[in-house]
Amino acid sequence: MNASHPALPLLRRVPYFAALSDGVLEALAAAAVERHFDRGQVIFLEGDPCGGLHIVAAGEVKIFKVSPQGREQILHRMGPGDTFNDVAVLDGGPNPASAGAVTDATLWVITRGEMQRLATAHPALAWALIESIARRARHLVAMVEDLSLRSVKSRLARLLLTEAGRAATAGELDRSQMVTQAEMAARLGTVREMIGRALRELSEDGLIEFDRHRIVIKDREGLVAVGEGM
Amino acid sequence: MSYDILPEIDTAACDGCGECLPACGAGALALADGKATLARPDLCEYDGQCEPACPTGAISLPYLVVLSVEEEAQNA
Repeated sequence: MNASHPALPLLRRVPYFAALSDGVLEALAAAAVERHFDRGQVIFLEGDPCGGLHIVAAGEVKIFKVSPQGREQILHRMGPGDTFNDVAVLDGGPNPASAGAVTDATLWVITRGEMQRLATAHPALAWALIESIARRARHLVAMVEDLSLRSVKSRLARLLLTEAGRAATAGELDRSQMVTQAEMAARLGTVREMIGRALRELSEDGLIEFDRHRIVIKDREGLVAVGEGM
Repeated sequence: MSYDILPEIDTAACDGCGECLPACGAGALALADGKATLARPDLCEYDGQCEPACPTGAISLPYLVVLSVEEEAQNA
């Protein structure tokens, strides 16, 4: 066991690992394998055998599904300290969705076998995994609500507010803080043309304006109201 | 700020049809080796006309979403 394992500081930053003892974190770190991916590279594909629990050390990752027509739906965007593929690690089934690197990314991967061994030895880790799955279920329930009950314009308003919050807390500007219309469409379960139309409507309503590469929110309250479907 | 923000062209997706060229009023785009390219980035006005003109979705414009100065002041 090596207390100075390079994955240890990262594991301490994973929210649902926060309550775990140093001993458990060190055991996890010892089982973790570092992997690097270039921007745009596929990390794993839906339906492939479970590749293990993935923890983002650096960069941005998207979890996505692709329709038979080739349309991409992004389920999650993951950044440093986020984990993914917990579901396949727990049930041993194939990967439920695909993962790809949005930017150059560094990940630590722990196999299902290692996770099983560690969770059996450390019940606190098993509980942490259950909590993670529960949070994931909440996110997916909210996504189903969005997709089934809200218009594209309403969903877009909510996404713009989320993105503005993300940009406000970020450091120096880089590509990972930015979003294209195609990416917005993939996250909102629609096509780019619908996003273009909804952005124009929000602009005509005086809620946002385009300033070169910036979408400026002029009326936050108004955008919140659109996001709530009012 | 060190990051140059310009339209992104996915050369693998570009089929060289050239439909983006007339869409770009500023004349920033050109075809090179059968692919669209941002030949004059200094002319790009980032008006977003090239993105919907591309039938293969090869052109995309990344946007940063921010609160206006007035809204930021209200939230401070």
